[in-house]
Amino acid sequence: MSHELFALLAESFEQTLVMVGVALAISTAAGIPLGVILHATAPRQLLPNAAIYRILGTVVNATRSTPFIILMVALIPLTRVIVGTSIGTPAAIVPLTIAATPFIARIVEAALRDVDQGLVEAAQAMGATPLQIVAKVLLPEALPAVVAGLTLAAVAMIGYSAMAGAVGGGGLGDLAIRYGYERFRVDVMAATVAILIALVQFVQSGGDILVRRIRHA
Amino acid sequence: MIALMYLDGRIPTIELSGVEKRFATPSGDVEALRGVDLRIDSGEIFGIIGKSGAGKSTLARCINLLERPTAGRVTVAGRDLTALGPSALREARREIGMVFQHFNLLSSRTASRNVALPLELAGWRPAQIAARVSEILAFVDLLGQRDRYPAQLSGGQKQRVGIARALASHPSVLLCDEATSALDPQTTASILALLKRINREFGLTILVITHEMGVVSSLCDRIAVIEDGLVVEQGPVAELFARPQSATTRDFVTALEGMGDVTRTLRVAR
Repeated sequence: MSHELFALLAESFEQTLVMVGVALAISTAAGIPLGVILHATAPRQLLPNAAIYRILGTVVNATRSTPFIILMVALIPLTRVIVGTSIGTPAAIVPLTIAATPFIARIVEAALRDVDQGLVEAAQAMGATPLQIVAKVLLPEALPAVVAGLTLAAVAMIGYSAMAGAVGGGGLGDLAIRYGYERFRVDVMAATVAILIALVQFVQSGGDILVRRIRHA
Repeated sequence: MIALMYLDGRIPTIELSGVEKRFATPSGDVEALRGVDLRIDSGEIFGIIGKSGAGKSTLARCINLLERPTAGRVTVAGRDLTALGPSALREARREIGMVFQHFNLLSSRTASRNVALPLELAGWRPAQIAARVSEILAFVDLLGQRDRYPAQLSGGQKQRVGIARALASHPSVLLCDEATSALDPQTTASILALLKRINREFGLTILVITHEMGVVSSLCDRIAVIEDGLVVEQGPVAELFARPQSATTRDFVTALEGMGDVTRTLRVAR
């Protein structure tokens, strides 16, 4: 492998890591509260509120049903406002985060819904407030399922980040298209795919190990 | 608030008057409770027995208002729970320790942290929590298992954690909803012995809801028989057993006698 190719791969790998890492961190920070609100306002839950539940649910579904490549183009004006440009790795983080947030919110909502209702009742019988039930019962009990879901989200985001090349976002996917496909560099294509496979394997195994460590059931 | 004294000098810990509960279902309303009156005195072990579907669990859940009665009043330790706002109700619920059939322990917390939960919720300081948790775990003989997760405990141990958790914040009533129904006979006996000891040593009022005749006969001072959403009979255990009036009571007594026969047969065989 030439020195030049190695440098290209290293730079693209770093861009992918930054894109996915930053987008995952922000969308997790936003998706968890959103998932909690979705769960709590659902019918027969802690604080049922049909209006909030329906509005949030519709926004989440609309974002999730828009194909990522279209979302990315549609969000260009917003991206310009937030990062000052619509080209480059920081610019790609915006659509990636906005696409991942509703996905994570639904994962969190489903994980909270799966917590045994008997535990919520036990906490209510102890005089717990809705906020205490979320913080001390629902989130800790749902944590293994949330971590498993975040692993799923991270892997999906690695896939999506490959599309970020369309807005000049850089990363491994971009490299594979520009060199591997457009310049017929089979070696670049093969190396890129190999790195992506290894990265996904690493993320999945890491997530699995973490889930096993925090699950006490 | 000062609890009302009755003419016989006893202080009621729990009083239900005219408690009704209707559930709206797609096929019309279902009347789970149709006007229940009960008075449970301070320091007694009171049993509520009934067959499945009779309304026992709904009644249990109406006592701490996990289920709000459609009509009627629920008074616990002198406070009318049905008249309280959300925050006062949360406060009042701490007077009632609840023990569940399926334990309802948090799988993410060890035995000792499960017992600590109600104290954390009530805003105790960490040092106070640690002291109380050790004290109560020692009482239920689980100090050795304090760092185990529920998944690493036996059914009987889980229920003892459940009982320790219910006792932690010094309630005035222990409410046991089918607390031994998921346990084998031997473990049931040890849990019943523990409940008796709690009643004797702390003078705690205990309300036991069950479909098992053996539980009320070995544990309770007085019982109420519930049938189709109504209390059909109540009184001291021995009295009800000697002269059962309702069909449900007769069925339960017959079942218990049947068990007695089995025990006798086993003894003879041995």
